[in-house]
Amino acid sequence: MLNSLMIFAQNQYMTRSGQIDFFSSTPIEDIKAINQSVGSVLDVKTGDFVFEVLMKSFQFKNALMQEHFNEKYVESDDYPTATFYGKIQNITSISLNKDIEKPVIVSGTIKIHGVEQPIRAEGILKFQNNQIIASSSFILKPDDFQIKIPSVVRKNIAKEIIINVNIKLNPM
Amino acid sequence: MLNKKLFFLSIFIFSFIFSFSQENLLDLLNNKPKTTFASSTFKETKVINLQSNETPAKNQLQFIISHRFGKLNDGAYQLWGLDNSQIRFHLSYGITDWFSAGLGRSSNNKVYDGWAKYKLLKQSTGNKNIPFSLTGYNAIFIKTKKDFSIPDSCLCLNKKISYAHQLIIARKFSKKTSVEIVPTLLHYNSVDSSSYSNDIFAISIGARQKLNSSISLNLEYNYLLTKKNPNNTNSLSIGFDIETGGHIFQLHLTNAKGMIESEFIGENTGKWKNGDIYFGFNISRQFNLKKNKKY
Repeated sequence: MLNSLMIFAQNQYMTRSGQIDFFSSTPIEDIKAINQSVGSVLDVKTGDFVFEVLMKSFQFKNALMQEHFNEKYVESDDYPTATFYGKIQNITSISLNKDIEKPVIVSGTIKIHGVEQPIRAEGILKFQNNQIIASSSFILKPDDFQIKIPSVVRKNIAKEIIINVNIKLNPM
Repeated sequence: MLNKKLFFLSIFIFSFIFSFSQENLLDLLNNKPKTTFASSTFKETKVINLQSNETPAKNQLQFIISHRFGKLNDGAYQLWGLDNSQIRFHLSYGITDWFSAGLGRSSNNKVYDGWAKYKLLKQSTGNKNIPFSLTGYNAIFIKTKKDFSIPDSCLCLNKKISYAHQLIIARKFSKKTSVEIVPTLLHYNSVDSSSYSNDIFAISIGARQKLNSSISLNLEYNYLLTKKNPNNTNSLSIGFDIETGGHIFQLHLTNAKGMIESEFIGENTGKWKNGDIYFGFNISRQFNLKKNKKY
């Protein structure tokens, strides 16, 4: 029993300093925000993959944007974190002992602003120096998460937001 | 048939275990307690006239233009005060996220002022539990309006100077409601009569109630514990913060003509019941002076 638990633990990789940034581009302005304290755990045996993102940790180029993001759009006091839980679909077909980038497909449930949505994204895994490096890019729509954009700034904020994930997981 | 049932049962159990293990992984991340700081206790660096606990963030230049029109009881001839107005310019800069400094000029009494405002404590929950925010504010005011009782040859700058020192104790009670209590010490280098005190103590209360994501109702009351002159009155102001994309409009009614602490706290003479009511507004805009290449 203990032995199996230990084996279980060795399969898990974790970080609390992953990076997620998002990018909104419109003819009027580009908005970028970076969060460098993303928490994530990956179980390479089962493919289970989770993320926890503290919304107030997104840094914007100016304080006013950051305040608007937290106060008016994602309402961080009410919904302090965004989470993802899901699975790497093709985990069994991947051997993670070589220093080669491997394409993966991740699917699961993402929860932002208290609203859950199914999601499927392509990404890349790489095993390097006993770390797992994972990256992915996908698109989210504020509308899908009931994030209301007031009409005065509707032209400033894109309908589709590009999300970039870059994390380095260490064995637990 | 039984096989089919068993099949669905096993899928059900399997999916349960599956989701359970993922939740477990999320719990692994959750076990570290975090400190969350209260943000946006007030929308602006000012409640109305009174300082709020907020300061401009690092590298942000804040520019405020304020107007106070004349008194409502000036009557129809003066269009109930709208014919007269006085103006104030206010520039402040966030040197760090917790320390800011600024300069201002008010047309009333032609006062130049400078100040430092700094966050000493930030309200937080979690790892660090601090029930309120504490901000310090120190200002100096130099009155440059010509005083005909003083000959031009006498510069007498020293006599025209006054100071304000405040501690702003603010608490965000909920995401919509914030209240602050502000003890104030004012010092005037010269007063009209030797029997008047140079040091004035006052205590102020300011409050904000958000009505929706863009509009809030603000209230402030400045209570004089000691008076510079027996005619001085406490000032009461009520107003709205209206936020548009980049500007914040503060519209208010107040019985204070002055917009600086030495005037709206220490030298106010207006009375609401006499109709000494001034309509006014502050328009605020923030500029980001240092672009971060990362963004």
